Amino acid sequence: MTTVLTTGPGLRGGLGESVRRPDGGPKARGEFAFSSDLEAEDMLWAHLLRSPHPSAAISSLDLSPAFAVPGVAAVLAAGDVPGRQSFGLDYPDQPVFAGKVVRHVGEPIAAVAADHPITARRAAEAIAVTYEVTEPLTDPEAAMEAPPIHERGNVLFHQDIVHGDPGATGEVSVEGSYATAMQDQAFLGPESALAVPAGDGGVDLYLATQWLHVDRDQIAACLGLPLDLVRLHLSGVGGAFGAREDMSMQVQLCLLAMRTGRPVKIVFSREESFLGHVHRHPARMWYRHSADADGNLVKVEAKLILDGGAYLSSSPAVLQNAACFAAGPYRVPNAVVDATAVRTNNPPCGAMRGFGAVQVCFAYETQMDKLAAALRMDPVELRLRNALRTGDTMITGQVLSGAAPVAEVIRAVAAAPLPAEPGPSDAPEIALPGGAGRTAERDRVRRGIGFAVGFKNLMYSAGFDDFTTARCRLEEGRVTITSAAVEVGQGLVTLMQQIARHIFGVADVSLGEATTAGIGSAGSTSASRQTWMTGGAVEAACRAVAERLVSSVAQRLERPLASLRLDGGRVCSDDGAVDLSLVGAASGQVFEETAVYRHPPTEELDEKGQGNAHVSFAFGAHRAVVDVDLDLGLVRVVDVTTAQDVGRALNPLQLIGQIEGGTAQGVGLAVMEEIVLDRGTVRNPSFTDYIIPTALDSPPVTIAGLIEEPEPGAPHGAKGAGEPPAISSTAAVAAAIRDATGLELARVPIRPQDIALALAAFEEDRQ
Amino acid sequence: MLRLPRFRYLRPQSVAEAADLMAEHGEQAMLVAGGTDLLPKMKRGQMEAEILVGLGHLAELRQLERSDDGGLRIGAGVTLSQIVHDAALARLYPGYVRAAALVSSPALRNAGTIGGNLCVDTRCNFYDQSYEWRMAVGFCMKKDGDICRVAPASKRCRAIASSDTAPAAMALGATVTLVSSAGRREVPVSALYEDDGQFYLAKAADEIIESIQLPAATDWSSSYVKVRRRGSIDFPLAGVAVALKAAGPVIEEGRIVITAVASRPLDVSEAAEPLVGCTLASLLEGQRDELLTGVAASAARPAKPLDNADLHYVWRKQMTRRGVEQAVREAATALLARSA
Repeated sequence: MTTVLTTGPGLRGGLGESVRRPDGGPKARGEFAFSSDLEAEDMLWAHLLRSPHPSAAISSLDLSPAFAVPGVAAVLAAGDVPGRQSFGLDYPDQPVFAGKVVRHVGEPIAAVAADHPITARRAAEAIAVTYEVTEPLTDPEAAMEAPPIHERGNVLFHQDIVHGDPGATGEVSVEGSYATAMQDQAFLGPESALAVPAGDGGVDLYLATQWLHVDRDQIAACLGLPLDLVRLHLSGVGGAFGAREDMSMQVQLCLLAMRTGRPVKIVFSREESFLGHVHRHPARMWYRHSADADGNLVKVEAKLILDGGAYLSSSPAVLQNAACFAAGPYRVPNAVVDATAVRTNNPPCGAMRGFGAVQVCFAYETQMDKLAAALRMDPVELRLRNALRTGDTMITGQVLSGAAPVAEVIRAVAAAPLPAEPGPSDAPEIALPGGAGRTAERDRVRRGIGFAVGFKNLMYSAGFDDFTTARCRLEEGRVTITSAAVEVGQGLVTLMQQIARHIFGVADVSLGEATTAGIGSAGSTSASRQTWMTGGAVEAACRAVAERLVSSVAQRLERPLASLRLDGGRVCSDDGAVDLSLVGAASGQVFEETAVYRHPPTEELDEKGQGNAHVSFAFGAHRAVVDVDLDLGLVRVVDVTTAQDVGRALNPLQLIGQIEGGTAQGVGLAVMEEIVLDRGTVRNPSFTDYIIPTALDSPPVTIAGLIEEPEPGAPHGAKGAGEPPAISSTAAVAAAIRDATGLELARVPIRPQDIALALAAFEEDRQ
Repeated sequence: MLRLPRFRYLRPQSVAEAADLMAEHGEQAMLVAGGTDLLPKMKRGQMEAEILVGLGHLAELRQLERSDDGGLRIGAGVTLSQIVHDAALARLYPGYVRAAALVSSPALRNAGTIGGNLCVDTRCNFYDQSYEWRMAVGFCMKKDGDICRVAPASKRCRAIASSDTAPAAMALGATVTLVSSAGRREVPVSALYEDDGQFYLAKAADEIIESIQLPAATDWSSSYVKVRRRGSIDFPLAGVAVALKAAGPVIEEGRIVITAVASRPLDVSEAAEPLVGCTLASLLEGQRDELLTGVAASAARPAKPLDNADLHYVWRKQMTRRGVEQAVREAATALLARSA
């Protein structure tokens, strides 16, 4: 189903091909340098002293015992920050070092630099802190009315959406309350960086992040330095998924480097990583769906509460997304959404793949199944009947102008053949719930099938000035692309090369260093935006260089510009008289162009949540097949079939990788991934206890459709595919488990006890 | 970042020398073979030792030999992977081999030894945390503290027995040979454990497990069922080892050992008594379901899971019952196939 764009005769590695990643081999061989592999001569090691309490006043802090530890070079705390005392993506409400109070477990209080990581850790431990522990505020509903735990209050953001007639009623209505747990991004490369003080009074920071320039701006503000004295350089990123959008230790590390005059390195332990980055917001959601007797949606009402934890991070944007997409990819003439993100003493939450769209998808798709049951309608039919189409109005009042193949993704998934029903004895034991543990009793295993559709926006929204910068340099026939865009594992490095190859028709494309020194911002590697945005900027920069090259040939040979073109790596004339290689065409000149790409502007939502807040949307559907052991409650996800709205497949191999990875992350949230909180403390900050699907637990992902309906305005028509595959797989798996068990299961992850104990209680009641 | 603390590593040339080193260095020293349990715990400050006495390199601990009574003597340094890939062993002791196969992941089974797995530390999610985490929540009696955080009224540590191979070996009636500078003794595997999460090993700290002896298994079959959420890696949330004896169509003897529901593997073989005299066929064809349910219920009765592992303790107790039924059926199936 994928289309291959042609790039030019004989050239490999262009657009539309399953080009291999330049960093693939080194990563597979273990030769790739991640940020944790950084080192410098005479380097010190940093360690952060973190709060053990979710809520406490600091009545005294004595750093002197740490200074007394041999090998310690610097100890810093609140009061040592020369510039702004706090940071934050949306508003700087998060202190670099906690001063008088701590608001979550793991909040940094002091930082130590020493000659060895163990020395630094011991010194941090020696710091004397007196805490007056206070009762933590951990219930998000209580938080709205509770005394504020921060001067900016406990309501982080509120979004209302009132669309159509809020008093409209349908003939059938269904209601439900739903919850999703806090999910971790669970990347493998822990937070790590190396800060090197520079002779000019500035600092160079080598790190894994998602957006170099926004980190730089925040660091410079806290250091009190001009932007050009803070230079960030991308190091190898071991996964991100949103967790590297916020700062974790950047300012503290730079401060230590500047104080000691020596390079300082930090690497978080896994536990620190769990405490040191933001997570997916846990959500509590109430819904009422109303429809007419034919199954046409009349109204959707929703009340959403997201737990933002102690600090703001990107809660407003996450919440706005949750509200905007609260009704799902359906035509809903009337809607009332009341969405609030609150502050608590739980760990801070922010960006994670899907960004607010995942939580609501679980709720609205459960509602759609309930509604189908109430209407005695086929759930797929109900979805098709209400599926959004181009030209429809969404609950924000925005008219869908781009591609919206919602019915297509639903049909593709619904039409895909189901995996074979296992006979009572022919499934291998490893394929049953409980797997190799051989706990399944075959006649107690039930199969279930679930279905879900989801969508979200691509790129930044609501009036944000979203842009990307890229540079193309052509020298002696070699093309070099430079951008500060961050490769987090998704394959942007491959795509940038593919675009350049596509335009210049040469195989040899190099990539410059991703750094804030000497090139403008590329924006964040998030919101599924880099294929479109950096792709667009690279394309524009390459085209500008190509134009200059061709016009220089036209000038030199005194031929009309229109008679020349760049084709298959050569500058040729229509009459065949000119046929020059890139080197010949350039004639010793070097061409360099920098392009800035912007997507069309968006608007902020008004007080009723109406406005053209988004540029583009991507849609996707999943069908999950599960086997559930009714006694144990163990679930085997047998198969997940998906169709995705991709616009254009520019690299099918990478696209499939995104779809498989996103689907697996959604499966994880459905059946096992949960940060377990106990009065603000994380009970499972390790990969022993925060479990994610292994290869054995990940279902085969069948791609029933890559729907290629080119998106108007998108470079090459391609939509981003980073997040959409992660949205509806959770809801589909949950629906399948519901189908197998008959239980309501209104919370994810669904734990074995939620099934086994509920069924056992149900049995007892019946007897 | 977690780093290993400094320690001295001693590399004895023989088990006897290792035993002397342990006697010489006393409480400062710990034994290490595969290191899969000890080394991460040293990083997290759960275990401390100034001296590690290495055993993994000793060829004399890696022997596998038939004993005179038709049983098998396996050196404690044999890796879990070696056990898993030994087809002859799997025919004789299917439960033991399966238990070894279900330990963690292939990489850890390649390093971990069968002696080490018998000694694997008890687990508790108030204990299996970094030093900073435990300090923040308050240390527990198993390390650095003086109360049990799961059951504050408890006089002893409630950490959970988590070895997969220990219950399987106990169900087979296996013994271990322990060597120290004071001599050598052979004890049943069941005698290795105390009902205490902190002092869970009944052997002296300087005693080295030299080998495990599996008795002849003629007329026996065995099974091991492990309940966990994922297909790999996880420790047991409940585990059941069963061994059944039947020369013909009738069960003559049964043993059941449950694990991960107390601080030591629990031998609950008394619960298996009603199985004696049952025909394999009747058990498997569903005619004795009530009997089997009763066996499972009484086998699981001593299980006292607490809220210190993944998932709900009520669920874990229920799973033990189910595991017993499953493991009995599996062993009976193998015996029936053999008798046919």
